[in-house]
Amino acid sequence: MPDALIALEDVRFAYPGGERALRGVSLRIEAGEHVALIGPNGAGKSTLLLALVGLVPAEGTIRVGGLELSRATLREIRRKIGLVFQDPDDQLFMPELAEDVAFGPAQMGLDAEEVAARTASALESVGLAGFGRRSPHSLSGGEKRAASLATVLSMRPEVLALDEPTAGLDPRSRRRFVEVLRRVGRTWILATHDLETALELCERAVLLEAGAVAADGPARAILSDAALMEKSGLEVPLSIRLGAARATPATAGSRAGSETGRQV
Amino acid sequence: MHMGNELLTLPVAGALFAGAAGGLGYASAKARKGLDEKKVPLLGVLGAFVFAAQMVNFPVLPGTSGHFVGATLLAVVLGPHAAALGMAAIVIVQCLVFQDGGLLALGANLVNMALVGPYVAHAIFSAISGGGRDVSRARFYAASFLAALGSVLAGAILVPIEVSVSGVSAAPFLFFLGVMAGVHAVIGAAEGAITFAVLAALARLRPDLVPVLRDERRGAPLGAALASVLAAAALVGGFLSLAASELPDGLDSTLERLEVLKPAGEEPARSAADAAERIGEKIAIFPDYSRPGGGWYWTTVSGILGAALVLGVASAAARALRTGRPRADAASAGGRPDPPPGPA
Amino acid sequence: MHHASIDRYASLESPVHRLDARAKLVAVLVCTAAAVSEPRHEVAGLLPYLVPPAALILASGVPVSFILKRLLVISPFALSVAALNPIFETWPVRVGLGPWETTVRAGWVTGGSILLKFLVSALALLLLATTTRLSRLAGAMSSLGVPRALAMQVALLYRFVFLVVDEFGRAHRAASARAVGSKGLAPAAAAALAGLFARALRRAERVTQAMTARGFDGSFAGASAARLRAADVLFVAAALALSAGLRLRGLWLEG
Repeated sequence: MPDALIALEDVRFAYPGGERALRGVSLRIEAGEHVALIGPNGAGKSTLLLALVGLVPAEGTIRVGGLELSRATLREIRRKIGLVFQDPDDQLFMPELAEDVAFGPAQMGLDAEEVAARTASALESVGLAGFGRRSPHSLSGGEKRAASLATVLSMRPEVLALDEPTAGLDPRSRRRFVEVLRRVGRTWILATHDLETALELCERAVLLEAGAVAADGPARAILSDAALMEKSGLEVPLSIRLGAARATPATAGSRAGSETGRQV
Repeated sequence: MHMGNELLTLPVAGALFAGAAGGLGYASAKARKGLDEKKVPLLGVLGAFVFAAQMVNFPVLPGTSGHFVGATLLAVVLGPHAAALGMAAIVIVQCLVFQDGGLLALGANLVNMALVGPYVAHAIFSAISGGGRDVSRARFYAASFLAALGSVLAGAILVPIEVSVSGVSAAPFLFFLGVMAGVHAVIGAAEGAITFAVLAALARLRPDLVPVLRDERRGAPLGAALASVLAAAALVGGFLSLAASELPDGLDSTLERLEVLKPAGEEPARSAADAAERIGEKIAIFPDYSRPGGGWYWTTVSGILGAALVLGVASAAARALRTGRPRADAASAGGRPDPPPGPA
Repeated sequence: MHHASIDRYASLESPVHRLDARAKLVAVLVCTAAAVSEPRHEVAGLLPYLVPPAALILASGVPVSFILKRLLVISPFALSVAALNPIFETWPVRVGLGPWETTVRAGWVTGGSILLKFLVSALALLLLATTTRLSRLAGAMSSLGVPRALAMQVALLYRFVFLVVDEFGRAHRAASARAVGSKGLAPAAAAALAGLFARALRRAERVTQAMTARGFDGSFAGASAARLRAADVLFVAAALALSAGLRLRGLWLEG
């Protein structure tokens, strides 16, 4: 079987204090997939994303683009996976936006011209053309989110991994984010509480609970499974509940239980 | 205290630049070895914290105000080498953005505040606390207070030395020294109290960073706090009287011109020491202490008397440091420390 | 702290703003060094040094009122030290301005010299600060030999100062709301400060993660240095020539 773009096998990680954050996560993600990583707080979603790029020393096997994660491959893997952090202020650490967007390519060792070209195109693709000389603290919340996306886009990653990308966004910015992601992304993993956006952007959902995969399958099916959602401390998204309420009693049976994805 | 260009000569400024470059080069090499190399950017953010904290001013003497310096806090938490780099960035930004300190004096300011400050703080702190992870409250207080006081004073004392070597200012060395050290004794004492308070609170939030205190009571141990205030007051009194004792020529001509202390028929005072003696005779509680020709003696005693007065006022402040009641509303939830960043 | 108050003027457009940061840094260093190297009794000879920075400030569009206000704010230390000279240097010297001559204390002359040197330094530094963005200055510093790690510190520090100061403001408001009377404020302040420090530390750790995720490995890649234009080179040359000229004139007049 050809290697998936991302392959995780029995990934485990415990914090120095002993708290187990990841307990044997196994997962395969193919190129072109759009995966929603969902679960309650403390489930390990952010930790899993960090583990993907080797920012937490996890055990188990992590393969990205055929490369197994190790000291030697860290650099390459961090280029392949563009990780967008929860708080844009953590990701925008340079005084000027253009410097932030240029940081990645510059660290990759590209020459000045290439760096400049990538910076310009990354800013343009998120709708921030001409914002290069702005400072991060002068940006609005939506602009900051777009900017933090630009900082990884300039590295031309193959997968975008985003941690709570819509938190704190107003409806228009959220809409914009959805449009931008669809335009610039090919494969993406969204760790999020925003189940509506998850539904809109992802056809597959992985439900994480207490550091282990509780469900993995079609997003709509998993998110419609009221029992599963409730057990995991989540909720069936409003759009599904409203949609189901409009269904006739004859077709209502399709909601509960029968089409849930593979359950572990 | 940030120095301006106008007090230095080029050779002195140049030598200090070289010193700063060498010292910072050393610090950065040691920092890379000590911390994880990748933790160096940590400093930028913590530097921002110290920078922001420095913006809060408190009055020291009429006309001067002091502020939190932060070198000691950084040195205890991150080690002296990283602290040196962090303070260096702060001094540079203060110069370039706020024109605090001259561009040519940057070498001097870096030496005084970014090199001497953190290294002295670290040396004193480790010497007193023993570098252990389980330290008694009194020892911890003494270590933080004396480290802060020592580090601020050490940096401050260098200023008159650098100015005197340059020879641009006409103020005598001892005068300058007295004023700088006196003012900075107060700043250093405040720094000591603040540093202790912050470190103690931090020990609860992040015990991985700060030596663990043996007991859980909050607030400074009263005896140690009073002792430190006394020490600071004595230092202030002593230094300022040292400065005053250097004033004779200028002060005496001023006194003459203003015809101070010239009751009808009496000779005008011949010098500041003489004038002080006369004042002393008139209001002195200890008239025996004003010895003829012993002006220096009298000013020192009066200095210590003044210090005692300061102590009385300052002990009220020391009481403010002490809280007996357990507090349930600390700034951050007490209990177990925060896990490392990144949990879901 | 309003970020606009610092960034405000450095983002303006003018020929002075467009000058390369390295050129401006070198020019300011050279001019200030020349002025400071004038002998301690020199007063009149220092006046010409004021002209170039003043002229450039006017050309840059930065409001004069702002410059004057800043000068006022940063002058107390220099003023007080300059004022000490007349107290300690009491012997008389003759000073003349054209046909008028008078005798004053030496301390007034040397004190005046200190003040003028301060003015020249302050004006030049203000010129640099108000027409150059700090990130460019940090880059200029590293081109001139400052270790890249330190230049990076400066950039990071500058970036996060705004965030931290805002957090301080929030914490201060929260603490004031909780503290009843001044007795409660001190312990609350210390706890708040520690909390802020811990938060700053956590943010620093996350920022380091973000940097590492984008390829940072301990060494900072060189920022692409813009090329020097003819205008920049000419500017530095002019600054060098002017400073050298003024200083040599001073030397010649003495000898």
